[in-house]
Amino acid sequence: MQRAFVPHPPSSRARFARWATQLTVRPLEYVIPDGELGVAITRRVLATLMAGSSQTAYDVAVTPVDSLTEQHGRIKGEWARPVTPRPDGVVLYIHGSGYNLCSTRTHRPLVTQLAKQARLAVFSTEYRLAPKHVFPAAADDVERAYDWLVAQGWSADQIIVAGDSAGGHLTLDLALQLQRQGRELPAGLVMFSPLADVTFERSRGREQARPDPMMSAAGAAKLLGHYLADTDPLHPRLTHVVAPGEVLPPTLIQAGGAEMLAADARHLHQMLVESGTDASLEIWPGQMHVFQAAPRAVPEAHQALRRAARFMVTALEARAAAVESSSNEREVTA
Amino acid sequence: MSERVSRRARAVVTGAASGIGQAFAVELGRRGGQVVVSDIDMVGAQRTVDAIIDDGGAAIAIPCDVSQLADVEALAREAVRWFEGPPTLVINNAGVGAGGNVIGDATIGDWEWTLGINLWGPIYGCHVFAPLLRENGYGGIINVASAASFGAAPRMAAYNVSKAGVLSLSETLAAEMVGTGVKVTVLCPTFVKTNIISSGRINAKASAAATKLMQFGMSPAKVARICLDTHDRGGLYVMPQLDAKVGWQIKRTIPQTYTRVVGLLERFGPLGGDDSLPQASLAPHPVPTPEPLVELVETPAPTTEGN
Repeated sequence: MQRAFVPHPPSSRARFARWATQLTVRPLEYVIPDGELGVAITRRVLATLMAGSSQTAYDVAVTPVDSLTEQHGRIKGEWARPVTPRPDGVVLYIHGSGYNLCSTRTHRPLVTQLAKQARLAVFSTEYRLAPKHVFPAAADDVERAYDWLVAQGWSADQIIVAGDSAGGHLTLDLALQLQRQGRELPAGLVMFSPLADVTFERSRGREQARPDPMMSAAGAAKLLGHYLADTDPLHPRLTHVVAPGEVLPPTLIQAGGAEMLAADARHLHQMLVESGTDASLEIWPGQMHVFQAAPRAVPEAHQALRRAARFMVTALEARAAAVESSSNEREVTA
Repeated sequence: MSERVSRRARAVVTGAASGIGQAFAVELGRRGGQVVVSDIDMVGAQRTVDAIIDDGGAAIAIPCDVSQLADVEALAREAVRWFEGPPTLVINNAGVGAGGNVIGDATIGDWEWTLGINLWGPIYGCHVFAPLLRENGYGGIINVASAASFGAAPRMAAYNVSKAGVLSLSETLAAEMVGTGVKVTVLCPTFVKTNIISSGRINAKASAAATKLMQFGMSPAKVARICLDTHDRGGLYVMPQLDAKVGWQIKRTIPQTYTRVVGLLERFGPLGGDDSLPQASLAPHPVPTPEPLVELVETPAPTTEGN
């Protein structure tokens, strides 16, 4: 298998972070109770950990959005605008959550860093979370946020959709929904440690070879179960199948080599390549789940984010060039 | 040789799609080695390879049925080509579980199947790889036997015989390799958390008991780490768990008493009490009505070779 990207072995700080996580975070799953109380505790613990390991870019202006629109319903989220944003592109960011946890607040550092690196305005959308709201609430909210962004005057080829973990799952879901509705597709997709297999079979397989430093596959499945409720995990909007010929926009997938979802990333990449999509996969050896969000703990976070930012800019430029040349052609034929 | 064989090894691991073999492969990858992951289950082998590569190691998957000499020879050729040189560490790990029936009830087919993989596998492995290593004057061979190789637990005759063969094979090889720079180690674990039960031919009742015991087992990763460290120090026997160590010492000091006690424990102990023994073997007590033996668990074809 040919891989375009060969990263160096993990830094000693990353190795330490992983060891420390394995020792402290992993056992939590056996202590925290199941059910809504457990989710509430996990939310607090995770928010604390993320606040401690992340770093906000302070030259990025953050403006909250909470508007009740007639057409799209309630749109909630926040804009992260760098000092001099590029005029011709925007990012829709879908935060990770395991469909239960986190918010735009916990992901604000990551989003501001991304906005700063790419010099793009980023709209980080909020969506309804389980256990209160079950499938397909989150997916619907993301779709409405995208429609709202289009209604704001951005055309599809000026939009990059990005997300981490469950946000990666929602990113793919959104792209496939647009594709199947015959609508114009965004200029590019970026996924950090995406969730692809909601049955967690792949994670279980990976876990046997190398346990994830944060969580067991069983624990993750339990968490996701709150969102699935009684829905069959093989539902086409949960287990996405990209058929050959269903070409999606250029996609970048990043994952950590130490996490169990690396198996998902590989599977997703292979499926996208087989469909004819221009997809690239970067597995960063020894890194954990969404390590991009933890620059204080892992020095590779910035490197990875910079690569993602560069990918976004390139994808926007490539799409703009393609649009321009096709409009020129149209003029000629007219 | 003072250098540690398990560091930056050019390693061949058989049966590395799951269980102890997978743990060996991943651990060797972590120690900077190039690992040939061989198994008949290529899906699982690829999973292991992915896990190694994702952590910055180097690995490839090569299909191999260890009970076929031609396969093992092909494995050696492929491995040498990929390494661009002879391997430095060979782990004959592929094995299957078999048991549940007393001698005479276990079919000859089961005997042949078990010995084919568990005994002939390591024999072929040593036959093919030992000359390569001896010629190179450096390296190591690890054979995965079991505490069953000296434990003589009832109802596991084929498995015990195969593993005893592996123990003897390793001891002989170690004697032959003295002074050549090639180390030999034999691993004799008791219960390890692997899928050997589900991949083997074990009847339902014994399978349930074994699964119960397996959950108290050591993790394969720990077994692999202990074994590789001992191998680096030049140890011949590796009994990773306390019960294996104790069993080994008892068997060596009072072999006859040991065998009698094991037999009685199996019949009247907490996990025994099986009333399916043939009538003739129970003389002193009134015999409960012998039930027909539980049919073998249907395994369509041996798909995985754990452990």
